[in-house]
Amino acid sequence: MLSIQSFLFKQTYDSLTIVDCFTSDGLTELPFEFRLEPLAGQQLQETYHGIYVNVQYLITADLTGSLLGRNLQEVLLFFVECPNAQKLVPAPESFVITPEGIEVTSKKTNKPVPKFKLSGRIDSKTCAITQPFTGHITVDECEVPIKSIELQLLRVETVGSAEGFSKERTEIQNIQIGDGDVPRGFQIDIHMIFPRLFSCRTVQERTYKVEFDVTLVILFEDGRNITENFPVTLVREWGS
Amino acid sequence: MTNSKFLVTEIFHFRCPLFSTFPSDHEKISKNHSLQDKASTYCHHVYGSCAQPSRQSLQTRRTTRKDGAEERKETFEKLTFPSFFFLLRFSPQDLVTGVIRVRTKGGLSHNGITVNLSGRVTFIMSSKSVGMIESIYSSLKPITLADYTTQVCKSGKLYPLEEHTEHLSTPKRELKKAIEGRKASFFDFFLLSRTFFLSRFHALNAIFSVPIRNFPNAIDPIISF
Repeated sequence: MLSIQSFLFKQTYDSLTIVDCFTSDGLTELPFEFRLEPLAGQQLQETYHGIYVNVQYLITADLTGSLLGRNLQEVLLFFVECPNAQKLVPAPESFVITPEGIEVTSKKTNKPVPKFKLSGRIDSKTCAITQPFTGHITVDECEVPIKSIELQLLRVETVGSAEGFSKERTEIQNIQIGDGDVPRGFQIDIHMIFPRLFSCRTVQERTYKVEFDVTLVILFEDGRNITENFPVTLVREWGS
Repeated sequence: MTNSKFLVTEIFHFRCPLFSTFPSDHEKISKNHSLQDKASTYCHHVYGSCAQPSRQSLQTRRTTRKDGAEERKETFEKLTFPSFFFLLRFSPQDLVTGVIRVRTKGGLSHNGITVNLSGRVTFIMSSKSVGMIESIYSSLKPITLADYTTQVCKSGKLYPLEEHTEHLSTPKRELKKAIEGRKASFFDFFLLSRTFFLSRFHALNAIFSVPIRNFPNAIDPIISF
């Protein structure tokens, strides 16, 4: 039995090795392999899709047709992640938002700034990209009703050229953490996941920069709002 | 030529820990609903929060912002997510391996098949700070991070299987035909699949030595959403 088995094994194995990459139904499979490494003088960057900066990695297969045949092409996008060398050091920050500390940007309304006090804490301003952005916020007091509390993730893209540089802040995502007139003195948790496609490790290269900001927005029912900005550094740790 | 279809598929399946089935069984995987559900929830929460970042989508987002929060959510859900390979990530020095599949009916002659891996950084200058016309014309040169090309197949002809087996010796061809014609027993099939597995996996041994990073990390918090 054993000999038959080994014989069969050998037979099928042989036939398959000769057939190699050709399988039934006119299907040809051609394996390929690349070592993902940068060109000389370059450094690989993470896949990132922004408005003004894009980092893309593609695999393109080309079949050059014969004399009369046409060429065929197929493109496939793939993801690259580049871990930082340094270790992540948490940088917690506590904040208190009061009318004294804010800057009035709109001159349309003549209403006085309402009395309020918001306090909270951000667990770290240096964040691991695979981990959520966490913290908490408490509305200690507020004399006008609140409509909503929102958390925004923004990208700050700087592109430099001979003519000058352009720096743009655009929104990536917006999540609501408090709906309606939230109870005073109640601790609201902040928990936000960084989107993979639209965020990457913070990049500061010679010709371009990609940075991220987290903004806390408190909307009042009368349409006015307060924003507090937190620049964050995104880091990807080894083995994370 | 008209019947031939050129497909590059399943480039990343070898590295995916979720796929326990035979790698090229793409259909089986797509039929696996639980997996697909997982992927869709993942896509929805991570990527579904905003559309492809083009200028147009930014405008739609801005216009909907005036309408209110509920309207905005609807526009976000329009994003469709193509496939599983987005779930896999590569780090520098990793091996990017895959298979190009060419499906042909009848022979297909060609002048070679090449595969190219490229990575580049592209820029668009903001029209706000530079000006509308300059933003189009003075777009910066893209930076090429990686660019490699290999030829996977020299010029020749791709045959369907029956033509190709002609050069094999008789007993082998008979066995091959028997297996293909399903005249062979279940045991033969078992062996065939096993050898197929083994041969394939031996050839691509290096792929399995690459550790998979942060796969569970990325999945778990999103599903608990």
